[in-house]
Amino acid sequence: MPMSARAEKFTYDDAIVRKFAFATIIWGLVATLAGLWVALIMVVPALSFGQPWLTFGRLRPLHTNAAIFAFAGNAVFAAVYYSTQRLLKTRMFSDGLSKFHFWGWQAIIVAAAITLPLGITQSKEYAELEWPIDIAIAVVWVAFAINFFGAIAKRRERHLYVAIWFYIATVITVAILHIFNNLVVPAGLFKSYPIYAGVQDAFMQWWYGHNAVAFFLTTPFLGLMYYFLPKAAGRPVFSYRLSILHFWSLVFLYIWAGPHHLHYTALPEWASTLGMLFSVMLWMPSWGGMINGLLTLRGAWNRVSQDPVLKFFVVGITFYGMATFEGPLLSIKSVNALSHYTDWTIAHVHSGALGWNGFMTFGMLYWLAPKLFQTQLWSKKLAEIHFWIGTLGILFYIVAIYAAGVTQGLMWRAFDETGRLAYPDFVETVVRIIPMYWVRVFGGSLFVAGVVLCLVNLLMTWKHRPKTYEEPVHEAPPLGAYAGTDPKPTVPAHPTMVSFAYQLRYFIDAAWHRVWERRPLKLSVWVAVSVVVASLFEIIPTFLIRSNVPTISTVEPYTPLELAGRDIYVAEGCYNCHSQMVRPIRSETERYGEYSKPGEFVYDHPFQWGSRRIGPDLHRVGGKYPHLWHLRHMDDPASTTQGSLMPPYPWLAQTELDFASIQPRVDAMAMLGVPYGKDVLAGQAEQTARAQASQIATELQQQGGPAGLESKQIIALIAYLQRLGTDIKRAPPAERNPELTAQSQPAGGQ
Amino acid sequence: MKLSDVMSAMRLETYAEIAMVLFMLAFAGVVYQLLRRRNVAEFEHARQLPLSEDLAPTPLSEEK
Ligand code: HEC
Repeated sequence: MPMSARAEKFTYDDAIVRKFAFATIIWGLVATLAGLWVALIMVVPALSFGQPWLTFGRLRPLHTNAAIFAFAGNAVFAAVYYSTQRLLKTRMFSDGLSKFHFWGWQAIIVAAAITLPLGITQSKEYAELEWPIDIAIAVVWVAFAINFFGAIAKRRERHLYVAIWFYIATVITVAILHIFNNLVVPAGLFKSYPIYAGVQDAFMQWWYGHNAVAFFLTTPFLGLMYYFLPKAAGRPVFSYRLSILHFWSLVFLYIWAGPHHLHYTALPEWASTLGMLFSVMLWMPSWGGMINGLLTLRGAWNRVSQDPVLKFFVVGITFYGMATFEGPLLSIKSVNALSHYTDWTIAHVHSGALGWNGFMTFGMLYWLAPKLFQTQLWSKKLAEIHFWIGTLGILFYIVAIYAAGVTQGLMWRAFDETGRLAYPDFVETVVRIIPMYWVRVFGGSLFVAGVVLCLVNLLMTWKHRPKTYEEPVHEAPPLGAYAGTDPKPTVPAHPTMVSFAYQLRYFIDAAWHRVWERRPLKLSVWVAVSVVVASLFEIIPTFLIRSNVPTISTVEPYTPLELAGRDIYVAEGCYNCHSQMVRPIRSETERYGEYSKPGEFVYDHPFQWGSRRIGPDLHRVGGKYPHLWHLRHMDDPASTTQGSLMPPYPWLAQTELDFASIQPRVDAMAMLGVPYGKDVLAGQAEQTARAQASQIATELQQQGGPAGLESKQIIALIAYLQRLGTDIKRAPPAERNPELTAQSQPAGGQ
Repeated sequence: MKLSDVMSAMRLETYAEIAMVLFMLAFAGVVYQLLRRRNVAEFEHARQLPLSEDLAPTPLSEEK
């Protein structure tokens, strides 16, 4: 064998996999505990003890970010670092980059865990982190990309296994998504405004949000599945062809489906129809993938009952099938009309996150532990128990929350026989589902208990590790430059046209196929092209077609004070419980008033449409209550509304508003093209804000409220709430006294 | 005149549908190529890759 003379010796870097594996389970515990906490304070808001950083609005983003980027993220990296080295028969490109990636990512998570409870947020779901952290994420991701593609470049196995394809799609697409959704103009170190507004911002956000699910929680986990499932089952994947089909259909279809998050909103009709169509087509590949996974176990089912790893995988893959069946269902407009803004979405997400991402991760960790720590798993029994209580936990959670979602959705749209809303009082629909929220707390506790067992099991396994880890040395010949191994076609003597046809066939057969198959660069380019092209065709019309966002002459920028109030709304995370989007559905216009128009949001940087109504929609709340009502409600919601689940915000009436920061905020908005006129002159913004604040404070006093609130945060928030959704009710500018336009909105003093 | 005026005049919204059709065609092409493909040996090789690490690494000569 002349080849062996050229063989090279190399080892794999498992230390980095051990690090990522531990980070996975530790952050997994943090993420699920945070989830349990927000589930609990949801039913007992008093548990936030009047502490801003303990309220639902601030902690829910902490929970989601920890689950996605800390738990699932580290799991993905553990899977990538372990399997990539082995599939490519090479060490990662650089140990230094691996370490930088690991520590950089953990630092980002810590930064998130500090800033989010402090109310430092961009308020875009799963993209809440402020711009300095976003830059850090981009840097660490690039380091990861170099490390990963570098490993591909120096690989010793020519063929790229399909898991690597899924990783490639992840690395490229996440970078694109992250950058384009986070284009912002800073208004300070911890505050920024996105360059997009209203409809366009919403569109970008859900293009991002949906594809983050696709390329952060789906494709890398499919890579994980296609590698670790065959390993654990001891047999190759059922159909390799099907796995490739699975890959290309996800890359081609997923990116189009984002608009399904915005049905019945001010988003143009064509866009949401497109989103729906593509979402429904996703049924096919997702089920293909699930079947491929489950059939891999054919003939090994007897082992499933013995092996907790396989159990986790089987249930994980089944949840993948369930969640991807349900997703397209939810994207169908008529279903969406019922499900959207309810807990149905939350149940859907958790069947995916706990069932698919969680269980695939646990399966992988239990499989990896003996390999990484070079000893037996400490307790198989404990892993079995983890599996059962985890499964039970998920079932309790999702069954209760599906029931809550459907109940609330039906109550919102119920009319009585006289044609009036059957439950006009929103809080009735809240109180009804509280028992299901308690079941969720129970189910969540079971799941968290399982995570604790996993942590204990891994720690004990680690304790029994050998003194020094063995580092097996592997051997393989280097790949060398790719010189094309396809035989040149012997072109028979034919007329030109026919020989041209032969050439073409050669091109298709050899170049086309093999390039796709064998050349990672080309593969990456294809993924990038398909993602970018699809995104552009989706996005450009939304940005450049006038008719999509018809302007409304009475819609004007927020006053400086209202802008400051809006920023408090953002910081407190009110959007986690309140939508600002009245859909053109009768039950909604009946409940909230005139439906929302795209033109009403042109100055909304960022948009605040929200995705869940734990409380009522707020888009038409302006003028609905007197100032005093808001003051009392914010101080203690239960005092005005019995049974309210809204957390109390007593500090807003005590904390000074930072008037000095208003000028840079207005300036940043002006940079984005918001026509602020004279307010952007130095010092003017603060002055205007103070004038409006003292006016509102006076009105508050007239209504019987306390004095001395004009410099407090609550005044700005009230100013914003009273302005919400009122612009379209005003007379067009021509008929209005120009003196009044700079004034605050008249407070509805009914 | 703004870019958006031009784009609106072109009725760009239909372009999304055209792009969708193109994507469907491209996708159909991929599926066709994949199903038509007779090179089973290569697939079989790839399929075994996750398991092959415990075996001897695939020598280059086997790659055809
Ligand atoms: C945990 C979820 C939650 C959070 C966070 C939350 N709310 Fe609420 N909110 C509710 C619920 C539930 C109601 C309905 C019961 C009530 O009126 O208190 C409500 C009602 C309201 C209402 C009355 C709406 C109406 O039409 O009657 C306003 C105004 C309001 N919230 C403002 C806010 C603001 C401002 C914030 C952020 C500082 C906020 N909420 C944060 C849950 C929440």
